[in-house]
Amino acid sequence: MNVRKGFRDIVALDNVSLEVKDREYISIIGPSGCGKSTLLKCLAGIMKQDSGRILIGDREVTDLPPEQRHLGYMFQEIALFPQMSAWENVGYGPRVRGEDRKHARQFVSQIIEMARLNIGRGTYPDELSGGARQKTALARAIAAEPQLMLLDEPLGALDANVRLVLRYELRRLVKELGLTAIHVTHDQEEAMSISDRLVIMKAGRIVEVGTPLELYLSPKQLFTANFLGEANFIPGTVEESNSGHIVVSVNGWKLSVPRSGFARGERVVIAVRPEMVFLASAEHEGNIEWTGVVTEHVLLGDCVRTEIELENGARMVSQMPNRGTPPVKNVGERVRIDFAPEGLIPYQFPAQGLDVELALE
Amino acid sequence: MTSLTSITLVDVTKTFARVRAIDRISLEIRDGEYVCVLGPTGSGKTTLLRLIAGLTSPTSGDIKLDGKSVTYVRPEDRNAAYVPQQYALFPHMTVRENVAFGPLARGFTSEESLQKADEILRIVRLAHRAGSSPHELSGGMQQRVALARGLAAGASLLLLDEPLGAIDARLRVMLRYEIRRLAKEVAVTVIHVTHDQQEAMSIADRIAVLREGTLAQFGPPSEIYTSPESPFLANFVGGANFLEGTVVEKKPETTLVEVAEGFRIAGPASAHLVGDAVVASFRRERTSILTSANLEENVVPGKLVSTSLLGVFLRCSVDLGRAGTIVAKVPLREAIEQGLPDLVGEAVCVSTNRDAVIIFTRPKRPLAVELEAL
Repeated sequence: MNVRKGFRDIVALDNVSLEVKDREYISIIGPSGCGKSTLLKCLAGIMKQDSGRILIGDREVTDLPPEQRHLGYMFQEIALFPQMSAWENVGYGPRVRGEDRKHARQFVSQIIEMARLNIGRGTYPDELSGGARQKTALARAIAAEPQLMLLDEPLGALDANVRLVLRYELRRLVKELGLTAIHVTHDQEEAMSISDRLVIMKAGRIVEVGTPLELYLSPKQLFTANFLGEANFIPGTVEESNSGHIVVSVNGWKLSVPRSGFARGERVVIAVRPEMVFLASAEHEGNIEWTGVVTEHVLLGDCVRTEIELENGARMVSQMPNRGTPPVKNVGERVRIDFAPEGLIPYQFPAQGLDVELALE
Repeated sequence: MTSLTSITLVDVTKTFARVRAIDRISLEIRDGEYVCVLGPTGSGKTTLLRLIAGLTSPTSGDIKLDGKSVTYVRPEDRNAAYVPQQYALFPHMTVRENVAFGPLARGFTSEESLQKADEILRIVRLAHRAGSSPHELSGGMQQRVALARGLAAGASLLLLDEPLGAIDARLRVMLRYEIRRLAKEVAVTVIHVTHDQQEAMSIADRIAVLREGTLAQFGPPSEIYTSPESPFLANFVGGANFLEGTVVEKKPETTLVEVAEGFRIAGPASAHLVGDAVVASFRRERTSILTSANLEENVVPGKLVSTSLLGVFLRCSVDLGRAGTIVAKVPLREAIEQGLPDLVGEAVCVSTNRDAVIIFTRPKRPLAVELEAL
């Protein structure tokens, strides 16, 4: 299946081209107002783009109404038919298609079983928990046997812990049924954890496309480094440029970065994820003589998060996996920080300034 | 922002149409404390907040602010600012006027009120948008205005109902630290209701976990994470692996739990006796994956079923056959060194540390129901 689309001259979507492979699970993420929902609505045919074409498989659907696009569409606000039981809701698609009653019944019970929906035939939507209602809506969308599933914040209305469980169920179902899915979410972790590829959007444009590991470990764009997971940003100037590594001067402090492609004198900003920032006591001999004072030290559960104010005034966040014996640091304690070299990712310093480039609102 | 406020709840119950939304809750919140009330939908969080705000009265029990009973005191006389989930900013007023509204209503002159508003807007980093209309602001900014309005009213107690609920995940992480910083800066007592355990863990001085209207546990985040009092708490705050079994042997420093025939988990010394029905639980981040190992204590063979990226961690799901499936959260750097993303479908071993295991008495209801965030 190929989904290509392009738009011109509209603010919401600015010349977007994207190809989704058959049976791929794709997530589109970006800050509020980046155009991700608009893109999905254009795909669904609920909204008409100003220009550009959309193909599903080899079929052009650009001018087709929603019902002729063979899509499943699931929103954040679930619209189950309240007067029908949950089972009747799931069976709606097959019934409307005029399928044989016995076959439809069998098919529906199969879908309900796959969705692990443990509910009786006589249960109505208002008797279900939020999570079960959402699963019913998903089962209904799937039972219509769509070529392509469009999921617009499908877990948005649920409690954090319920979301955590359901997102894996969502992927499992889509994969078991061999569907192609495009999932829009504002939740980066949700997107990373269940997608084959991610599409990062900002201000109506696609910033970057790649697998979760590619985008998390080596984001090509500065915006991605900030949006997908947390990062510290260290502005500096390239002092030495060799093959394989550069030396960046940061307020007189030096940082050796194992990447090339930057010229001497170039202004750069180095992104480094909190889990790539290590702490040692100030006496410890590290590779890098960066020292500062602990301003905050919190156990987050799976991680220990420490904020450090460096002598040059910069703030740095370190986040280490909790191994049962968290390295206890006290607020006010002097520490030296060290970086995992592979975690230092340099970027050209953005022309419009760092704050504007990274802005989320 | 004068003195801080302490809060005491004594045996508070609130019943709606025979349903106990709040069931005999007693707790004490110290002045200047930042407390998160955490619980699933329907656990009574919002009701608890509204009781403290005075927007609803308890069916029985007493509520005290600074040691004085306020159970029958009107909301406006409680020196508390309540910021509901659906905060409504006045659309026809500027940001500055919205924030100045509280002081004005309290009898300050308009000049004083605007001055106060400016001061608070500086603290919430919105001074540059003082002249804007609310609808010109992003969701995150509107949330900060609502917060500023609560603060400007001069209350010493701030009651926040899901203050970050409507905000995008990435921004939410940044704003939660902002809210805490703010609260500490202006020195108010805060009760912050949320269903997001990560949010509560990262900013609360203490967390009150509610379940079905009762107080399940109340303590500092580290205590709730390290010593959860029930499987529900271990699951709801932080998440964990759970294996049901029976205590089969006790040694001075070890309790052995059989979770499937021939499959034992070693935990630390516990008060449980041989024959007791228990649940052995261990955190996913204390579970590691070994690609080659000898089968020693707490090293169990299985099959790597799937991996998925969480960011700092790679989530690895391992099928242990009869004992079920468990999840290991492996630091991403190590997972890459081990080559785990390419080992899906292969045989691996999982291991956990004896000291990471918590042994709970097996709950009366089925484990799946006990763990469910109702």
